[in-house]
Amino acid sequence: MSTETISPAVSPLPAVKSRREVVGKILNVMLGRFGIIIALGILCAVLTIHSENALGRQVFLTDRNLLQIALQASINIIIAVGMTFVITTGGIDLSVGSIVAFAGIFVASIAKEADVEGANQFIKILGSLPGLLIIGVMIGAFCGLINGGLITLVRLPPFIVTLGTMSIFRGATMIFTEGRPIYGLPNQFINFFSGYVGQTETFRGIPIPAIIALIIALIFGFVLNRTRLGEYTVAIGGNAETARLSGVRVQRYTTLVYVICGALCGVAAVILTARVSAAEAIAGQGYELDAIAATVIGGTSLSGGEGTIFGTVIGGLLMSVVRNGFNLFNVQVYWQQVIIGLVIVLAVTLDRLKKQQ
Amino acid sequence: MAEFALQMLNISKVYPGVQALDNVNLDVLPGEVHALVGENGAGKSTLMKILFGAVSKDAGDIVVKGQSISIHSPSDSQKHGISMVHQELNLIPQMNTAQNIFLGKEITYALGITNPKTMRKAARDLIHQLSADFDVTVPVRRLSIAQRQMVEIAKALSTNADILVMDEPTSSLTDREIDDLFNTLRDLTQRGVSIIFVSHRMEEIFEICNRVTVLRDGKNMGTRNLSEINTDDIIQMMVGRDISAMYPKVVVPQGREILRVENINLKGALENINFSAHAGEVIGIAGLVGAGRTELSEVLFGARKADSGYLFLNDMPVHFATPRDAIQKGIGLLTADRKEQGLVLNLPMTVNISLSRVDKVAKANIINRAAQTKIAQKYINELSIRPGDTKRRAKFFSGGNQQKVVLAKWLFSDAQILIFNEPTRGIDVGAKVEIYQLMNALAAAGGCIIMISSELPEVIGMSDRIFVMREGRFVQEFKRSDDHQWPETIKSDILRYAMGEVALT
Repeated sequence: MSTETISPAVSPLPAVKSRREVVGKILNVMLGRFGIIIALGILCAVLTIHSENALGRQVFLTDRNLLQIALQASINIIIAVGMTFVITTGGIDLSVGSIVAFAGIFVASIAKEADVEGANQFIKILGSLPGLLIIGVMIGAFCGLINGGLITLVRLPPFIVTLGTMSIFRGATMIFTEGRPIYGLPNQFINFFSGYVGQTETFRGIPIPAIIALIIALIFGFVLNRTRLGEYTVAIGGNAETARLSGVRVQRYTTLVYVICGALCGVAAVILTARVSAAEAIAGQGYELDAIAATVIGGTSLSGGEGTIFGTVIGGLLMSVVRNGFNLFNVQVYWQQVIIGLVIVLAVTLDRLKKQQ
Repeated sequence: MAEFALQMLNISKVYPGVQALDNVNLDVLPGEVHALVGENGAGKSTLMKILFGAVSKDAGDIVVKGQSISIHSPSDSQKHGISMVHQELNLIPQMNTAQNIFLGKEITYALGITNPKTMRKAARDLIHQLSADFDVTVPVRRLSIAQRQMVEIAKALSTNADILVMDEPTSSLTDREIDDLFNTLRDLTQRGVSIIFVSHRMEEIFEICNRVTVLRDGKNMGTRNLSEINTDDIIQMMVGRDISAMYPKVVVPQGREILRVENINLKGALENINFSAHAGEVIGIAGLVGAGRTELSEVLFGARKADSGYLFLNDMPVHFATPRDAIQKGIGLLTADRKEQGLVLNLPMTVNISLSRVDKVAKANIINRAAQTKIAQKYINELSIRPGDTKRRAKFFSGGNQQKVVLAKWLFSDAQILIFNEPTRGIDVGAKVEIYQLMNALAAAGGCIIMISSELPEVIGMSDRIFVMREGRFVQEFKRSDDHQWPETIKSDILRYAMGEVALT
């Protein structure tokens, strides 16, 4: 009698996993770091199958289309990498779109100036391809310095500061250009920063903007993950007071993060200017929302202290795939906005669920 | 049986590892001011939280006006006429007095449209009843602390409370404001309101209260008429027992002077602070909340700038503009609030430990994760941090192990002088003893410890010297005798100086 009652307790049978446990486990993986990749994979699979079914031929899963997606995502990803740093510190940068426009007109003006017959040697150096990239980066970094300085020295909330500078940089761009686009840029500039490498007769080549975006993502992924700056970025977002009391120069590093974000906007400005063959005062409007969306979809916490560049890249690609898919199937453009909005809400909801577990 | 306004009978409450309340009785007469005193951790606030419905009791009865009642939430206690004026005033600063008083019980027309006029008038009446007079339409953030307290009291009375709990109500008031408050309290008792007055300040207790109940270690040590006893009697009831053997103090021979503090002043917080600390020494700093102890720790650590004064480290003058400067000179601060100031909760142990000296685990600014993990592993072994999982996020450790992680951070930064602010707050007994043993080890290794604590037994048990702070000043110094003993009366002596029974000279 007694042995009967004891035996189940002493011999732990391998527990049959209840359905609930299994679902929980699946959910965990979905919510975890691979959730976003799974979402991207499913989306791609659906588009691939739908392409065959609806159109009878593959329009989505072709190297040409996939590279097009990468090209379309590259500017957003470059900005979103900077945004990821900013959001990881617990801040936000609404001025990125305006910085893109502001840096763009400088890049375009100098490119044009250097192209003129008999331009002096200095301008020629500035107007070289690396020179123009550096100008874009410097102007963007300067804008970021203004943001970071106001936030850390005057101790204003990042939302307010960058809401203000969003308007200031945009206004300054308008003043410089008097609202007119700068056209007639040198072909060499356009062909490089919006060009392709590795063309063959059957292959269009890999878009240079996508390569630049990839390099930036790799570098800054490493910076966020494995360097002192990255460690401090996460610590400041996690608890700025603890960081300060641990000897971290919080103001300096916070400012530096906004400078990085600005500098990356400068890179984006160079690419955008080349792609549209002009610098426009209205360029980059709404880019802040795209960058924030990519960052958030990628799992970076809006309250700071948590973020990955990898997630942001996938987030940026996901947005691009959604837009691309809708274009391929001629779905009314307005639906894209609704879907991207839903993706954002879903991503944040999943993030919240993950944290509650 | 309706002789008492309130009776709490045989109240018990157990927290994991602690008997917070053990068969405690408290009875309050109609129209009396009843003092509730005891050291930190004696159980006062737990008892009051049970009365207010914020904490549930394990056993016991609460009887109001002869009727046994059950209280499960603050609204239950309000229903029975019990109201609490909190130490940190619970008002919404942007809203005005009338809005604050009627928050959650607005007087409305149909469809929930508020009736501000009636509410303002009712608020004005309530304020006048308290013999106060100020504009009830300005946001409460523009009122003085004393006026805000009146708003709190009015809010409590607006629920027709006749039992009012006041937790340290005078801690941020000026002398005049205290007089006004006491006049108000006397008026209230005339009207039959009973007041439970939680306080540390003996003079005030004797001025305003009728009876006193003393708690010690969760037990009721007795209720007395204040007209029949004096301060010493109360302190004796509070202190009682000897320092138990839970303080494994090892006195080590003291070395040379490491730190000297000269004439530090900070307006409103510190006045002429002078002391020196030696290698191998544990200095205890006792005092009430608000005596300036935390401010002192922040000044020593460069987190706050003093108005004047000098610091010397190893006889060299130093100046700390930021915590970073202090850390580079070998000072570490274990803040009272571990979660908000000591740890980045969301980050793993490894990152928390190396945060103050990332340079030691990085080459050319690139972090060596393996080195980081190795260091964490080393401290897991040395400080027996449990669980010993280097990747575990700080928030998932228990209080005691969190404190060890913070301690590991400062050990890793090679701190020579460690300032502990409330080192064992919220830590279970086992981990407490481990922290004390680590203090011993640090002192034995030639370090110097400055320990700020509100737990007197801990200060007495672990310190070599004790300074008592009051109103920003060091009012008394205590030393161990040649055979390392404290004077018999050390505990009551410290309390006397801390509470202001001994006149300042």
